[in-house]
Amino acid sequence: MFGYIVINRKDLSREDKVRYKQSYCGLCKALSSKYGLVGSTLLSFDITFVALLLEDLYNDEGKIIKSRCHSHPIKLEYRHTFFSDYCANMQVLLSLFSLKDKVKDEGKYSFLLKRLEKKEEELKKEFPRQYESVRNTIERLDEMEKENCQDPLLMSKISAKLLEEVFVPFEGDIFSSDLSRLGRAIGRFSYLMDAYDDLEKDLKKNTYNPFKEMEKRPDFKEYVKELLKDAATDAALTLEHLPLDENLNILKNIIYSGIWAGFERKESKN
Amino acid sequence: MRDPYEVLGVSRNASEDEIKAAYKKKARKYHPDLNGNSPEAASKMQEVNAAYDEIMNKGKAHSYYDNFGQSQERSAGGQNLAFQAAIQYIRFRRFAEALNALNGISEPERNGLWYYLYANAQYGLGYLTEAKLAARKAVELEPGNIEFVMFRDKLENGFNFYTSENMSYTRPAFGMLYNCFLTYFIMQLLCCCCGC
Repeated sequence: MFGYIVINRKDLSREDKVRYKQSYCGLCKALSSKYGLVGSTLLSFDITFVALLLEDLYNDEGKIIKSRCHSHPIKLEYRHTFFSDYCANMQVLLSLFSLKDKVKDEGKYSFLLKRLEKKEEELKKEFPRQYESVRNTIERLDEMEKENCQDPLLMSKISAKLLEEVFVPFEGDIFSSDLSRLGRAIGRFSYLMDAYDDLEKDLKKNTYNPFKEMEKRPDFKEYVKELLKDAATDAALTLEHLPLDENLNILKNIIYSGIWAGFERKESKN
Repeated sequence: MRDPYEVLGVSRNASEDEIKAAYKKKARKYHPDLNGNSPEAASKMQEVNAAYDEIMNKGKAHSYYDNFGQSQERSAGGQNLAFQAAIQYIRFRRFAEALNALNGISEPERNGLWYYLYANAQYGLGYLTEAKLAARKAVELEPGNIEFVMFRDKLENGFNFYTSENMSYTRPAFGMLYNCFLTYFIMQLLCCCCGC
């Protein structure tokens, strides 16, 4: 995934950093146990956000397991919950389609894709709603890219739907409408941030970017910032509305601050 | 409507934490897996949601759920069915359907009210930018309409909470978070070569 949904380390308490890591490592373990070592390389901070969100919302503290791994050969403590497995599956689903798209664009061969495609039918069967939603979104984005759509608002709106169903483990439950709204906000923010980050490279290489036309505006940077802020604000509104407690500080840290790290980095370069 | 505190099963001076815990408990009780998709469960969920919203909205400058204007219903009395349908959909928080109804209305009929309703539906789905643009247009078309002006102002200026909260954090730095990240990168290279 895009990789912008990260924590701001400086402002996270020690306890919260430990909690974050426990869920993060729990996801890694879930990925490797179902999808092998290859699976664990797909782990993203984005999906860690989803795991922390759902674990809190559904009061799933799971089990703390003491173990070790290739990164932590002496001591590791990870948290395994229902959502470690759910999010692991969702991560593979997202990586599968993102890789398919990349391979199609660049025409390269990917061992990783071949490995993941073996699991595609299984994922489709177990999570038809999420599968269709991700597939349709990628398809639509592809179509719009071919037409060189220069409407970043429209593109980010389509992209918002990428995570809409992923954020909803139980269809139609009391939290589903808030969760899908949060998924859309995160999806939108990530897409915009990624497009903004890649703009220079895309201009040089003459590859697709929804901001190419808009870049000519004198107030371009302010406009992008406003788009990003709107998406972030909606994510915050939804987050505050959900009955979160255990992980609220971590999630707030991410939504109010961490997600701007990419933007800040770009600013500091210029 | 029943007393929201009674619906959630909390006392009137319950803390925010207690309210959230009660809401979570109710959510588990009316989980679709336990209750199927029965209309009773659905209406119970609606009641619990409404109670939670009402209590949480109290005293907040920015309300998550807008109290959709009563006056619009009266003024739309003479408008065509699509307008009425859109208003009802928005009332019942069925924003995607509201947008469909609105999109079915032809361009020449898209007046201030149309843009106001469109803005509400977009806001309901979380598309703040689209909501802002539509709200501005609604005011442009009917500058004297207080409700339109208030809604536009809320969207434009009502979310300063985000900026304030953001500024209370240290400026984030973008860098490697964990050592495992580097290890994964190496593993990824290795894994693409071996057949494990």
